[in-house]
Amino acid sequence: MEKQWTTVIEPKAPLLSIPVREIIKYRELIWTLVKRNYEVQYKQTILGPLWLIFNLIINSGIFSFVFGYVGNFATDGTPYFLFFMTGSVVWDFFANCFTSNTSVLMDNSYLFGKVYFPRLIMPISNILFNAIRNGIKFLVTLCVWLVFYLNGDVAFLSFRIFGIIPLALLAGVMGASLGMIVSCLTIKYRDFTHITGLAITVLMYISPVMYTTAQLPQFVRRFVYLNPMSAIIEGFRYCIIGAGHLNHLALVYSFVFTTVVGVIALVFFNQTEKDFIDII
Amino acid sequence: MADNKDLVLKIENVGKDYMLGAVTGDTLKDALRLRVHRAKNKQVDNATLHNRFFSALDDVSFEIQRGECVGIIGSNGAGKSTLLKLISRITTPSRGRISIDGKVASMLEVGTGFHPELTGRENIYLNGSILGMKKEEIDEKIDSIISFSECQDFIDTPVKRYSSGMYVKLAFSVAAHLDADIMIMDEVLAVGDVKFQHKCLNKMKEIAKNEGRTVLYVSHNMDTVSTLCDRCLVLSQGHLVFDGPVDEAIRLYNGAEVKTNTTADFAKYIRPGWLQRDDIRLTWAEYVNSDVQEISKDTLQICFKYKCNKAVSGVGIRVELMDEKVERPFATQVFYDIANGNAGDTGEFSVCVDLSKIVNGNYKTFYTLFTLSPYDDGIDLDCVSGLGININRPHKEGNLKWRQNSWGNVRL
Repeated sequence: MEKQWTTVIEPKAPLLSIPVREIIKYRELIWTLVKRNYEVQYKQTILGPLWLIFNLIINSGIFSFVFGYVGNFATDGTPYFLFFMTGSVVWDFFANCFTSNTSVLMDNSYLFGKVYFPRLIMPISNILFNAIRNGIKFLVTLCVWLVFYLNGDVAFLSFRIFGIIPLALLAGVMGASLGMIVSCLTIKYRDFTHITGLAITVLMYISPVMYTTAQLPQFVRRFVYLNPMSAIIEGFRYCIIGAGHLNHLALVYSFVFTTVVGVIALVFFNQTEKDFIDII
Repeated sequence: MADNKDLVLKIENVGKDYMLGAVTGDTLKDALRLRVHRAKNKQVDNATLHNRFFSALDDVSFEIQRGECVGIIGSNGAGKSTLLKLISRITTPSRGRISIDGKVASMLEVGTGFHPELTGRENIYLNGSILGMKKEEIDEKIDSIISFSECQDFIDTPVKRYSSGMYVKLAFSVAAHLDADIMIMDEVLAVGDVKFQHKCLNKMKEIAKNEGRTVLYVSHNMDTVSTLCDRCLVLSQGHLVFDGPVDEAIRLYNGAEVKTNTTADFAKYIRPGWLQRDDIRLTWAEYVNSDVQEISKDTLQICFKYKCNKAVSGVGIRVELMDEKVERPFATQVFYDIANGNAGDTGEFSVCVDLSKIVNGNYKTFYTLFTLSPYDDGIDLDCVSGLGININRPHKEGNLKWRQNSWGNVRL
């Protein structure tokens, strides 16, 4: 009878496989890594995670001044401060998931070169870490919303608020998947390290973070939904403040886009991680 | 098969290739150019491509039973690290299959994943879970880890403020408390000062001997291999050349098995890893006119046999003498242009080494075959550890008594 091996290592890795059981076995490592990220980020700071809140407030303030006050951007009647904040929370989540994963293989090669654990642990813990950070930002946003609500500027939350969960998930997975693809490419072609910063800035300005799609000229509006983040940001904002509108078709497109990119990222990551350590 | 059940590790025809030179070109532009180039002259490229691979491991197969403690020895570049990397799943083999039963813990490097900003205690948890320990497991062992590391007083200080000794001590302590079915240990793990190194080695012995765990142990130190292991693999240039009892393996590795006092057989001698070429190989060396190793004359006739693997010409030999005590070569005699031949040829030559200026004593020798490049640089083709020389001339009345310790091994 053939012996049952726990692990069989062969030259070829399956095209698409998620080692779910292994990841569950290593779940404590995910948590440890998240904790490490957190601790490292706020070691030797007095304010700790409060910096997150300051950054958000000051950023929103600056953008409110430039676009809301000086530029006088239309916001469907919402105060610009809140308008920007709601968009930027989900955008930041996407951007953080993307940038933290673009170098996930390179940055951790010192680990991957010495010890084995399912490599997917790293992107997963990155997503989780950013989810926590942006969760805090989201709570701040809700506080800001409360202030404006008490002031009578916005309507009360409705059950729509639960819509933010799938939207945030979509943004996170999309960001992480794109990041992983870039990370795999960076192993061989370092060119991509130079592109990512630029790409994220460009993408931010073509996404409706600081403006509404409604105020765009007709011919641009047709293209803005090609950016899969557009529908997510608008949807997110709609879920919190009820302003703007929901483009259902674009949301479906975002969902399909995320799925496709996610599958590509997994396949690519699986094929790269098995021996990228020889190339790097 | 009944005993099949006890196998924990089975390695079948495993090979690993590395690409030499730039993998794809450093930038996208280079890669595209390479691709275009490849499409244009496909045939030429296949030939050059073949040369660009280097086999770090080739066709290695062995099996390990539960509870065995196996040493792996071989010179630098023999493929030991590659083999360990494959077994610990850091990279995948190019050929063959590796089957593992149970959990593998690899202690290839100390302090994997240590983060300088975190405290010692936090790093124990981080490092432990990266190496595959559960949190309860670490909780259970943390006291013994801390006390083993001798860093009790600093355990809540960020490791960036540690001295390098403390850092490696702490790191080793975590690794030493791992629990797994198969332990992969590298001897470089024994770190710190001499006292702590002993502690490390003892801990390794304890792991290997007690608890019936399977251990793969890599080392250059034959003493530890022979005390730790009950079986030994010898790797040479990517091939498994020996698998069996430890003392036999060590003898083969040292090349001692094939030597007598006045003859040496180099056919199976394992060459040092730095040797780049294998154009020609010494197969035999013999002291011609003396049947005892002790030499009282001023000259020594050595006869060599060789075999050519490629066409060579103008090959010379260096005979280097090395002091046994201080391990330092002090005299070299060079003979130019004494061997040549086509691939497959064998031949012999003899040289006459002048010992008139060498004082009495025991010396080790090295024989190095070399050829001169067009620029008169020597390129070493083969290097073996040669026959020992024991010079013992009677002291002549009235001559200067040579004080070897302060004046050196070469006399006026």
